[in-house]
This record gives sequence, C-alpha cells and structure tokens, in this order.
Amino acid sequence: MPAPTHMNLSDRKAFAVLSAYIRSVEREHQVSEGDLKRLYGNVVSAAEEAQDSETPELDRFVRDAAERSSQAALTMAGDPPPELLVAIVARFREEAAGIHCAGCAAGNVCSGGRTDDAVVSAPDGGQCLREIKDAFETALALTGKVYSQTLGLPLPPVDVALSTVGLTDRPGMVPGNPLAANAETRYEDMGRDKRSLVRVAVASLHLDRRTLAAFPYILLHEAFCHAFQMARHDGSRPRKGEIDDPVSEGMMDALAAGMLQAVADESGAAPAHAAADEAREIHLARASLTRHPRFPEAPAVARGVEVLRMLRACFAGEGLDADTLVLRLACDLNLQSWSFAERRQGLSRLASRLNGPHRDPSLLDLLFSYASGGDVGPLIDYLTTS
Amino acid sequence: METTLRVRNISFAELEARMGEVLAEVDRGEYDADLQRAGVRRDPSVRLEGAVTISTGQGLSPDQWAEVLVAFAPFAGEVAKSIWEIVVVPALKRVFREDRVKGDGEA
Repeated sequence: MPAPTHMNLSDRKAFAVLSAYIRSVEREHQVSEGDLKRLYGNVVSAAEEAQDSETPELDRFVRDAAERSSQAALTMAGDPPPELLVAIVARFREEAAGIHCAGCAAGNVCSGGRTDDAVVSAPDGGQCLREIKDAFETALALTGKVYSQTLGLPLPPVDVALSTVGLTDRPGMVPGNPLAANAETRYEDMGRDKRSLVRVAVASLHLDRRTLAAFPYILLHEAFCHAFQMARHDGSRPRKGEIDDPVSEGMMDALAAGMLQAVADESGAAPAHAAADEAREIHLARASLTRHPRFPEAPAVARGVEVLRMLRACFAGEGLDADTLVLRLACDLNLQSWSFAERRQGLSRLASRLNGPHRDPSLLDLLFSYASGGDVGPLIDYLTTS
Repeated sequence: METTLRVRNISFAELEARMGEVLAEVDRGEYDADLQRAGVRRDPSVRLEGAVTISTGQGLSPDQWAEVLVAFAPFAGEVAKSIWEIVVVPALKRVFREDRVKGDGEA
C-alpha cells in the first residue's frame, strides 16, 4: 500500500503559525477586538508568506512569523500596550517555539519534496499538524475502546491511515458552520485486507478557533462512524454510491457527539468542552431538515437520529440500560456487512414499525432478544427481508 | 485500476446516468474515429458499459468539489482508462460544462 500523502510544506507552515496563534488566544475573552484583529491580520499575512519558495525550515518560519506579527501588533497598540495583549503575545511566542523540526522523525527535516510524507506520517513526526494528528490518534483510541467495551470483542482488523490535503477555500457544506476543514474516509481494501484512508482537507489560511476546536469531532466522525463501517464484510467493502447510510451518518454521528460530551463532562477542561460544543452544533446542523440550505445528507442523518431516539425509548420503557444498549446496537449494526441500500431500507422499516402505539411485536421480540445478549443477525434479516 | 474525477454541483445519479450513456456510445463504436486518431484501438468484444463503476468517500460533509473514484473492471484492460481520458471525460465536460468537471490531474 502506498504511504499516505500530506499537504505541502507551505500549507503546513501556514497551519502551524495560525494554530499557534489560535492556541495562544483561546482562553482570552477580554482583549480588545481591535488589538486582536490587528494581531490576527499580521499573523495571516505572515502565514501567507509561507507560499514564497524561499522561506526557512518550518520551525524557524513559525518562530519568525510569530515574532514579526507580534512586534507589529504591540507597536500599533499604543505605549504601553494593553497587558492582555502582551500576555497573548508571550503565549504566542511560547507556542511558536514549541515546534522543533529536528525532533520530527529522528531529525529528518522536511524539504518540501515527496519524502516529507514519510516524515509527517511517522509516529513522532508531523508536529506542524499536531492538532490533526493528536485528534486522529485520540479518535482511534476512543473508537477502539468504545467498540470493544460495548461489544465485548476487539474490533475487526482494519488498517486506518491518515492523509492530509491543502485547500485554497473553505470546503464543505454544513449549514451555518463554515469550517476551514473537512474530512472523508475511503476504503482501499484488497480482498480480506481492509484499509480505511481518512483524508483531512484544510484551508490553512482560513484556519480559525472553530475549526481547531472541531478537529476532535471531525476525526472522531471518520474513525467511529466510517473507518470500521462494514468491517465484518467478507472481502473488499463496497464503496458508497448514491445512497447515504443512516447508520453511520445518523446513529453513529449522534453517538460520536455524545461521546465527546461525556469526555468533556469527565475532564472539565475548556478545550474538551469547546470540542463537545462544536460536535453538537455540527451534528445538529447535519441532521436538520428545516435549515436552509439543507445539508445534502440530512435525510439520512435525521433518520439515524430518529431511530436512535426510538430505540432508546423502547429499551428505557422496559427498564433496561438504554444508553449502553443503543450504543452496542449501533456499533454492531455499523460493523455488519449489510449494504447501503439495505441500511436505508432497514432503518426506514425500523422507524415505521416502532412508531406509534401499535409497535411491531416481532420487531420488539428481536430487539429484546438482542438486549439479552442475542446476535444482531436476525434483526438485520427481519429488517431487510420482511 | 482506478482514477479520479472531480465534479461540482452534479448529483451522483446524474453523473452515473450520463457516464452510462457515453459508455454505451463507446460500445456502439461512435467514438472509434476519435480513438483511432489518438492511437487507441478498441476491442469491440469488450463492453465498457458495466465495466466502469464510480463511488465516493464518506465523511463529514460533501465538498463543493466532490472527488469521485472511478474503477475499471480488470477484464476491460488498460485501454479502458485511455478511453476514459480520451472520450468519456471530455464528453462529461460537454454535457455538464467545463467548470463542473475535472479529470485526474487537472487543476
């Protein structure tokens, strides 16, 4: 399998400068908007200079960019400059100084050529894309933990790799959420060997606080919802065509947002709460059937969310541990090899047969049998053949 | 064998339908003269309609420019990819317009 590719060195320099700046201001609420705007403008101008061919190595570029933009902002902010601005600048310089190219991949410093991909992909490489790589590793770990804890089984073997690409403009079409990043997962299976390539696309020069805060959710969506989707399929997994999958896009996405909220509630840390807030907002926008313009996959997302709620109510009504059961059932359904068309049809049937006072008794039997430790196969058979 | 196509504001169903029409035209020999000029010899016994499948990745949000994965069945051979580049991509650009379709490697 070819090694994953990554965004070019210029885009990584811009990403590193802007993410260092954003980290330095994320806790500050009191700085004058004018001062911050000037600093931000200087930072973006400095980041744009990364496109010039004759710039130094990434770590030196980032430190220089931080220094120049900070000095300019402090000078313009008056004499003496506001204390909070001084504090932000100090943090910015500290963040910028935290990247050491010599520490990446045993001292293989990026040169802008094709060998950079191996450096960025190395476990100790790619410090410039730290937020993305950390979010990816955390997402994979959380996915593995949740799947194996809820199902009581290890995940089927899937090689999950991370690739990054640079963009000029903001991508994506999540209504009301103009993020500077997007992601998708592609299957590159060869027979029984399964590989999911998670591709994160970033418009580095548009990087902002919201996008940085959203990376945990963006990567968790890919890892939890898609990387292991259909992993129990015998042979190469079918790739998506026209039909959107309500299991992965709806049920699993809702659960992913919930998982980040649980992480935030447990840690209490501000970045975790910021991540959970972004996850909730983006998930709701994706699921909304009333926003305009509507998210293209909203019907599938909404269906999955609707089914999750119905299942939760169904299990809770019997005094069962509904949260654990819906998590287990969603993960199990997502792993199985039923097709995109079957998933759409199956969830539509599930929704119609659990709706209202006259619920399908056969369906209820299958659900409660599953809740008692039964296999998910009979449930899928019933939903796709009855 | 695979390649990619990037499309903007074209639904998957529309793209698949148009692609099918063009491949059927190729199978009927309607582009043989163009292929001959490009030095490509088509085997009439190998039908391309059904030998080319398209798919997309899944993720957070569809992009304004969607990248479509194009896979060629092994029996179609290397020439299928040449026919795709010489005939199908230009045909799709005519149908959907130049600024909504980009072939592999195009900026």
